[in-house]
This record gives sequence, C-alpha cells and structure tokens, in this order.
Amino acid sequence: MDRQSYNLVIAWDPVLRFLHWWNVCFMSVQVLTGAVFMLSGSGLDKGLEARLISIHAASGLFFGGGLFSRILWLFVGPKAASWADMLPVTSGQWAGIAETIRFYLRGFKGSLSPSLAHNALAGPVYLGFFVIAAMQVASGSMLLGLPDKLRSNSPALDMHEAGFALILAYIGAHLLAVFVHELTERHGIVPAMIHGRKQFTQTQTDELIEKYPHLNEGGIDERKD
Amino acid sequence: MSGKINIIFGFFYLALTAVLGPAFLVPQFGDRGAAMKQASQAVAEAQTAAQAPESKTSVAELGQKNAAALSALLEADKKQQIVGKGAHSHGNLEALLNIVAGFIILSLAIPCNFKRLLTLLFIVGALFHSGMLYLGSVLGIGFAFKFLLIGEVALIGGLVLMGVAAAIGIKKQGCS
Repeated sequence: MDRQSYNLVIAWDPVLRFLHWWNVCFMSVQVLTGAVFMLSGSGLDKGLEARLISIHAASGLFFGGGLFSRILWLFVGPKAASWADMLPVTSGQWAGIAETIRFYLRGFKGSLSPSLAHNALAGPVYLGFFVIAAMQVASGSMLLGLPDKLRSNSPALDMHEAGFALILAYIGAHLLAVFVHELTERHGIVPAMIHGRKQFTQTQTDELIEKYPHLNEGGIDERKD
Repeated sequence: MSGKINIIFGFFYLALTAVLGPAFLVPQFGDRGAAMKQASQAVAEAQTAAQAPESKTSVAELGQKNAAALSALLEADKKQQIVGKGAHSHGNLEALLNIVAGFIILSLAIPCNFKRLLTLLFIVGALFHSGMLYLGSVLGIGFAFKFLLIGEVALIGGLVLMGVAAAIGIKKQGCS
C-alpha cells in the first residue's frame, strides 16, 4: 500500500483544547439531565427532580465558566483561537465558505484547501453556538431564581427549551462534520483536539506556510513518513 | 502587566469593600442588639408565664409581645442584608483573591496570553459579582443584579483555569 509522508503541524493551543473538553464534559451533563426533565415531564419524583436540578444548575455554572473563558480567549488567545479566525472577515474566508458548501453539494468528492485551525464554514457556526449557549446559561440562571410555580409558566423556560433543541442540532451537526471531514481529509482532527497537532501532506504544509509564515518558526512539530 | 494589575486592583477594591463594614454594617449592630434584647425579654416573660399559670399577663398579650419582638429581629436582619452585607463579605474575599491570584500569575511559567486571560477573568469576576452586589445593595441600582451571572461564571472560569495554569506553570524544584 502506498504510504504518504505527512507533517504534524501545531494547530490548537493547550488552553483552547482544555476549554473544548471542559465544555464537552459539562455540556454532556447538561444535555443528559435536561433530556431527563423533558422526557419525564411532571412524572419525576420530587426528591429526584430537586437533586437533578441541583446537578443541572452546578454543571450549568461550570459550563458557563468554560464558555465565558472561551469567549475571552477569542480576544486574548493566539491567532488560531481568535475571533478573526472564526468570523468571515476576509475575502479568503468567504471563498473558503463557498468552497466548503460546494464540497458538501458535490457529495464530499474532490478536495478542500487545508485549514490550519477552523474550517471557514465551521467558524461562524461555532460563534453562533457560543451565542446560543450563552443564552442557555442566562435563561437557565433566570429559571433557577424562580419559585417552582412560576418556573413552569415562564417565557425563560420556552427559551431554554428552544435553545436545548438548537444545541442538540448543533451537537449532531458538529459530530457529523467531524466524521465527514476526518473521513475525507484525514487531518487527524479528533486527536488534534487532544495533542494539538493536525496532520498535513507536504503539499498542503507548503500551502499553509504561504498563508501562515510563522509555521516555519517551530510550528511544524514533526515530520513522519 | 498581568498579575500586577490584579494586585493593584485587589488592594484598591479591598479598600472600597472593607469600608462598607464600619460605614454601613457596624451602625446597624445597635438596632440589632436592641431587637435581640426585646426578643429575649419577650421569651423570658413567656417562660415565666408558662411556669406560673396564675400570672396576670394574658396569653394574647404575651403573643403580641413575642410577635413584635420577632418582627423587630427580622426587620433588623433584613436591613443588614439589604445594606451591603453580601457586597462587604464577597467583595473582601474577591479583592483578596485578586491579590493572591496576581502573585501566583506573576510567578507562573505560562504564555503571556494565558496570563492575560486569568487576569481578565479575576477582575471581571470581582467587578461583575461583588461589584454588582455593591451597586445593587449599597447604591440601590437594582438592575445591576441582572449582571451577577457574568461575575459568577468568570470566577468559576478563573478558578478552574488557575488550577490548570498551576499544573503546567509551576516548575519542579530541586527536591520533591
């Protein structure tokens, strides 16, 4: 079998990776406990419901902490974690969005230009997620401060439930996109969120170096055959 | 500058929140003390009446005295809650937290932007948590309470990330 040589290029900084997994952990607890509330309706035992609300609230505050830190990291973090990498502000990023949409419409055939950090289309989607998640934390906090009787009739509950559905849709789309891109591009994006390095072929690395000259100064961690 | 800003901020902020004690809380001790005295007198009278059924004080009169004493005690407590108890205690703690965090941030071997993030989280945390309690309860700006959540999540973020920073940024010494 023909084996291609590839380079391990540093893409994600440790703070971003930690915040990513922190948010994954607490969002999972939120989704699980939220799903129990939604599925059981009012049939849940009162004692169990109170304990679940406490778990949901505590993990919600931790999730809020991770989310707020990630939002600040958009402004003080390195280029790959910055808002400018996610918000389509350059013509190159708009071209990247069009290229990704064409790639999806072609049924994932052909190839995409390599992205060091976020894919051009994924960036704005993540920013949208930050907004929805922030609204979830805010509406959840409002609900927590309400007495039981008012809670069930509050507009904040409708907002919280709609946000929950959007977050579930986001999780599905995110996992699907990771799976599809990993299968078609083979940049090792899942392990990259653990050790920080994406893998690129030599041609792709050269293309990236043109866009990000700083990669020549220690950005390429390892070359493998 | 990261770390140093937390220390400077921490000392000024501590002065601002510490002053709430003598200015707002201590003057209320007198009211509370009087209410406590009234309550204990009412309870003592009720006890005496219970032990001596032939006493001339009626049950209704005793009940009224007890209710008035309890109400005065609750009122004194409520007054103390409203005028700055939370802002004083949380503010002092968060000011000290900034001073301690500042020293630790200065000593850690971590990237500058990570230090900047920690600095921001602790300052935003203090300003939006105890700062909003201060605005809301001392200065009476009620809508400030709506921003408390920002401070809460910023402090949680700061504390957890400070643990991460300590894990990676404190270098091994000669002996362990």
